[in-house]
Amino acid sequence: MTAIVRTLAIRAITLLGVLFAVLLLLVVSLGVTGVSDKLLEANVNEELRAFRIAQSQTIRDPNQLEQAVAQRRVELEEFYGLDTPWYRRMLPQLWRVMTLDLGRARSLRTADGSNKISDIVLERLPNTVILLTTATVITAAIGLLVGVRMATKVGTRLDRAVAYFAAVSFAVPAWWLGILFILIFAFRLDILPAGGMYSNPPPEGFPERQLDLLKHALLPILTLVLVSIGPSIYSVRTMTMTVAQEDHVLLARAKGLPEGKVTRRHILRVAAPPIVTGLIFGLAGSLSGAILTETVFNWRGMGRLFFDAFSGQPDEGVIVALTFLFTLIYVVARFILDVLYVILDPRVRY
Amino acid sequence: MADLTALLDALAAGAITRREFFQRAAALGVSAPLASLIARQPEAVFAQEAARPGPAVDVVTFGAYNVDQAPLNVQNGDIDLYLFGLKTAGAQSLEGVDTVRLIQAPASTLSLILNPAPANEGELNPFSLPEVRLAMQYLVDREFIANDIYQGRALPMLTSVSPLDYDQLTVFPVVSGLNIRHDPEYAAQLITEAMERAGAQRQNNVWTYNGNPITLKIVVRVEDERRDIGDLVRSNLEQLGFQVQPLYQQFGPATLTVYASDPRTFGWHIYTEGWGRGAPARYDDAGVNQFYAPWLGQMPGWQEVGFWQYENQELDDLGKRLYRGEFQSQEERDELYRQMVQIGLNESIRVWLVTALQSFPIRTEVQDLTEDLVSGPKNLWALRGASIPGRSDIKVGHLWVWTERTTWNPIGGFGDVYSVDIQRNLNDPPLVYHPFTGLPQPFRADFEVETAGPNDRMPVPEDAVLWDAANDSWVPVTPGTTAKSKVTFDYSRYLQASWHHGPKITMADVIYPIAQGFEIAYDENKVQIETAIGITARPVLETIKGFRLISDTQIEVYVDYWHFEPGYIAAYASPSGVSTPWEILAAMDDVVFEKRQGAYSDTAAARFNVPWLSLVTESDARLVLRSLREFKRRGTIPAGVFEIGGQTLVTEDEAVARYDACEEWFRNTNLLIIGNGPFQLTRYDPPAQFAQLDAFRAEGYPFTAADFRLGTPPRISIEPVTPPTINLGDPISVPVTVSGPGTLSLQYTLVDPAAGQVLATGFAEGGEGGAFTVNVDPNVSSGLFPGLYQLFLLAASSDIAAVAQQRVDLQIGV
Repeated sequence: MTAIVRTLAIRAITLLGVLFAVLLLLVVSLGVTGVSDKLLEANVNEELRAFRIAQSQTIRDPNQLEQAVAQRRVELEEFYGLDTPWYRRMLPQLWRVMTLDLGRARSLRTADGSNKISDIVLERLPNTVILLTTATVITAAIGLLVGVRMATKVGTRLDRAVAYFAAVSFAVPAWWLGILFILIFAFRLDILPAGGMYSNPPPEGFPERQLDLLKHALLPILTLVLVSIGPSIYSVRTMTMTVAQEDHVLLARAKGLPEGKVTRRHILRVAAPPIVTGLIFGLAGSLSGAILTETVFNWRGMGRLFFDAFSGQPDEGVIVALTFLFTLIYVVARFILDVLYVILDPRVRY
Repeated sequence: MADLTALLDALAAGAITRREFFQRAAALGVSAPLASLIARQPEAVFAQEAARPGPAVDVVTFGAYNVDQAPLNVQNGDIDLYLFGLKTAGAQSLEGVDTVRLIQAPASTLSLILNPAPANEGELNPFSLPEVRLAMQYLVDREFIANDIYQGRALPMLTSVSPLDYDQLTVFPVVSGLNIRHDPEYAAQLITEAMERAGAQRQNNVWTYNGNPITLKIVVRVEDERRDIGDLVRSNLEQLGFQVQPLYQQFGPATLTVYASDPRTFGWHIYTEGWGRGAPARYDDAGVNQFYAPWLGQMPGWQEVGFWQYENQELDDLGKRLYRGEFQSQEERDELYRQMVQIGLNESIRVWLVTALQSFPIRTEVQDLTEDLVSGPKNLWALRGASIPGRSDIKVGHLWVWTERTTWNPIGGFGDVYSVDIQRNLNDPPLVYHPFTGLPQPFRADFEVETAGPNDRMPVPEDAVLWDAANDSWVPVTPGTTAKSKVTFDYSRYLQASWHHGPKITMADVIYPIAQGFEIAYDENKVQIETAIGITARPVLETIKGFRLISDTQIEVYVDYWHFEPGYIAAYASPSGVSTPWEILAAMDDVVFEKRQGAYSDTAAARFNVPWLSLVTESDARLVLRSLREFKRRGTIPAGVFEIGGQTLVTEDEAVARYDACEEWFRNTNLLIIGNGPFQLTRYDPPAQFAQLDAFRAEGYPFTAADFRLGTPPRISIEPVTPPTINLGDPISVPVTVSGPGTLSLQYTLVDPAAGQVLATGFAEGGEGGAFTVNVDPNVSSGLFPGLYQLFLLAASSDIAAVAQQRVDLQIGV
């Protein structure tokens, strides 16, 4: 036991090192290459261009207009941190982020007006959980139930049908299916909303509002489940099929154990590690959102947040903070898996 | 009222009994005696509806809808109109749909910007050669772009002036004489001559310099039709022997590549630009500078320190004169403008392509919606006068209702279209640019302009005052102060009515923003906090020479500004938007400058780590409310502001009543957006992308729905001209019929396209009832050779800021 704890502790430290290294790599590559400064300068220039045009409507003296633009430039450079070199700007940011102080966004805010990145993430994360994580859980549950059953029906017509379905499910893009579903369920049948998170007008009471939110989540969840359910079923089927043909399973059946017990104790238990790996990483990955699906359904989740941070006026602080968060999620998922392996498979010892 | 209308119709049609009518009327809150009266005299009721103050409908809601889905949403009735321009495919999908029509407005223009920087040693940048740039004018196929890529929803344009703009009158002689057309052979000829002169060679059909192929980078925006335009330009250039590397990019990366880089690094050679347009402007001065003159920072180099700069002293000199108003007459102004456009065309740094017509879908049952000449349904009047029979609401769709850049504060916010498109319905401006004529005119304030002219000055009375930010008081102007113009504003139509939260609008609401402007610009402490706002306000405030309260409703403004169109002087001198009650502004000042808990601008907010104040955000509104409560507790009135002209404009009791009214308003709405217009903001829900505006019908509100119904812009058109048969030596006389409102005029230019020469230009004769005759000077026509000649016609009207054009091909002596 002591050895396991020591080993897990070393793994945890290693993973934290990975986290730090990823962030450092991001920050240094943005800084050393000059990309960070260029991004921010581009923001400044674009804002100054618009500012000049706007002020030219009222300031009728060209010299005074230039003075106003020059003053605005000074302000903007301070605002974007261009008055300090990248290593003074970004390295402290890195350290701050590692201590879970995500800092403040420059161009993004919450609906309440807060530009704290932690507030922005906390506002978007539940939206992603409702959509992506729910879809992942549903997909995993159905994948497990059906996949295990299919493992005992290898080669049958049903098995082949599932294989074809899995291929189609994998190939169909989520955004395309989403648009199709909107056309059918929202515009043709008029039974589900076409997009957005709330109705127009939105309900005012709390329970009504939450129900409205869930109603709006149905179609995107259905879309996400359908494009991932096929591969999920097929991979569980394949993983359990191999185990189901092992000698110990044959022996268990020969001993007269009920099929349910055989499935749970002798097949699933053995096939658990790779299945759980997929599930844990799927859940972790779901927290990063799905940009295309969120765009199609007008859903303000983590995927759109990352996209918003890159496109338009790039927000450096948000990019660094989100990279940290997503890497942290991966690191935590890895560590949980390392612990779970020990529990699930007695053969695994570090 | 609309439901009552439906009931009356049903009663009249016999669909319901009188008993049912009274029951349903009672359910609508109409008493039995009133219902009885209505049943007997429906016309009286309808007349009352038309006469009631405020807008046509009771409720307007805004919601966010994806631009690709919006056509379906409008067809489905989810929304009644969509305020974001559809893509071409989306607009096409609505053709033939009976329940939807499209409002088309020339709301955007497209251009190519060429990089003229000199290449490094041993290399050649083709666009550093003026002849190659000029050749691009003949290479681009504007007709194809307009008719094929935009499917007819665009108009070719040659200069920064859209073909529909009033200033076409100004540039018409220049443009019509240039004979710019799609002529790849001529473009090839120009390019070949220039490139060979520069030492380039064409090897295996590819231009090379010092043995290396010349590659042009074209940055192509991908979000819209510019992608197809970029591909078209690329194809044209490749056919002429250039290797072209397309860089397909979205807004952010494209901006980085083009506007954030030194042109000399040649990260780009061509870029597909797109420009939005707002209200019609009868007389442009900023646009021509923006698109041609280097000084305004919109030409390659972008006036960025360290970048190579495109320079043209002549354009800068002309542009600055135009910008400063250094002209004595409209003719002189027009001549400056023409010269700039001529030079700009010769330089061809910016090659104009088309004016794109944006399409806004609207359900056909929406009636009485005013359309702006340039921006379509996005104007002050549209939602105020529009209605739908049988309904008392309108559902409006937009791309977004709220974004991260949406900030509702009247000093440093309203920087995005989504907030502006809602907010314009909540307030009445003093002046407005007419949606058809493009001229400034009174809206809720009347004005009278007196001017000493461009060269003379008038004395400013010694009892006129200016705000002294150092001493927080109004002080008389320095004796001997003079000004170019005086504008007297009358705010009676404001002062007869109230704000949304109840208190009457007073001169205090007019005066406070004036003092506030001077405070932010000149108070040393405040300038340190809101530097950008303060510094940018100063140049304008320095031209204000004095204010004088001459009555309970009128204020005189003395200003150093002149324009040949008096309305422009009034628009420049307009001192106060009267968009927010003074107590809200005072409380915001307290939060920003005293308590330092919020900021007006985003840069100040970031610098001081405080919220960028937005009055639709509950937490920010509470900050302002806290200040109001303190004001009430202490009986505070802003020091000195309301002591003006020997009067005290606000008493302590009045101030306290105001503070209470704000508190009550916040209790009901959780918002502190309080306006004076026909709609009040009652719900704002950013996560749900929803806003609701309810009608404001308080007694004294000066407008009814009828006042907001200006209709659609009148059109001016030239009836197709049948070219007459003209023999050699005959006088050229062409009858032309023009249709349109007001006083019509018709200009013409006769061009020899073979020689590219302007033969004659002038005004057509006649005009009564739109009947004109173009009579070309016999001395000109007598010297012509047999062949094809082109007669360009341009018609204009005094009543709209738009023109009509036509080209007539004349076969002479053939």
